[in-house]
Amino acid sequence: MVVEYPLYGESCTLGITIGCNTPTKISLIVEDAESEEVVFTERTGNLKGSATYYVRLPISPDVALIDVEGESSDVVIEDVKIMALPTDMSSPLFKRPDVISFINFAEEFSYDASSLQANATYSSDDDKYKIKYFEDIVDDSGTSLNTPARISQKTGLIEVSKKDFLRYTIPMRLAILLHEFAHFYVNKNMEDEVEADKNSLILYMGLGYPRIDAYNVYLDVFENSPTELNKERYEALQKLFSKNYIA
Amino acid sequence: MISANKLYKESASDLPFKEWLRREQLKGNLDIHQDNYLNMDGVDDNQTEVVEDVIEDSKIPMMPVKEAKRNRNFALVIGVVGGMLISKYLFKK
Repeated sequence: MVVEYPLYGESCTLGITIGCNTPTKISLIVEDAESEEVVFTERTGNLKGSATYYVRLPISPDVALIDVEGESSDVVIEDVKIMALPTDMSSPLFKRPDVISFINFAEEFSYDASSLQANATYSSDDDKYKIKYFEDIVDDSGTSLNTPARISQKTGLIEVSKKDFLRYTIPMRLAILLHEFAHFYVNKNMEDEVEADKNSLILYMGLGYPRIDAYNVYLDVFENSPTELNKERYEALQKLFSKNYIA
Repeated sequence: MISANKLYKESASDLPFKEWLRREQLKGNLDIHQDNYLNMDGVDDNQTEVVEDVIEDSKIPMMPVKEAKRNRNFALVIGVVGGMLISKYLFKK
């Protein structure tokens, strides 16, 4: 079942109530009605009866397309509500103009990443930040790396894999870009992955992005590189995500 | 030019080579020749190279080459002379 819903580009939380008479698996996708490549969330779950799913949209399209599919044919969207978007910008990081500049750049890049040309470099408006967009990230010998993104310790240049970004929603992309940013511009210890996770998620969650998308993208990265360090990172994330945070 | 590995050994630092190298680069004592990337998946692409570098370095004999050669020649001479003396003693018997 597909519903188009006008949002006029305003930040909000969508409360989507889905119903089904028989227990079934469902998928919920929210995307830009004008472009199916611009995906705000993509979730799956089991449904019995009726349930409301909350989708946080710090950036939103003019018209959202809400697509709910189920194994059972009687899955229906019963109601769509627009609610306020809870944010928490109490962190001093949000007072830094350089942080705000990167957030604006990263949001724009994440929104357009599906249609942007690969093998090109993109810059923020103030020219302070650059993202090199590759089809795939390879090492010096030409071998493909598992990582969807990385940052130079020398220059702060961020490299991104389009192959991976095409699979990710906008919040997932943003979570990755903020992680790379945190390494170079926020961390006390530049190489500390756990510190970069924490600092970037203060920004990500403070802006009001959905926790589930960050969780999914980190899991995706850890699944491809199951190291001891990533196990430690996963446990730290579990603690952070277990705080009260709807969606 | 003295290599970073040699300087690391001379420093007798307790730090791992990679950490020591980074610290010296930040202090401006060593040039940064290659760019290191921090990957989202936490895997260090250069780690293997650095570890191998240190392992290779540890195989280098601690004794200076000239001294090692001199000792080897001295052992050879002692061996030959010793052998000759033993064989002479046995023939006399």
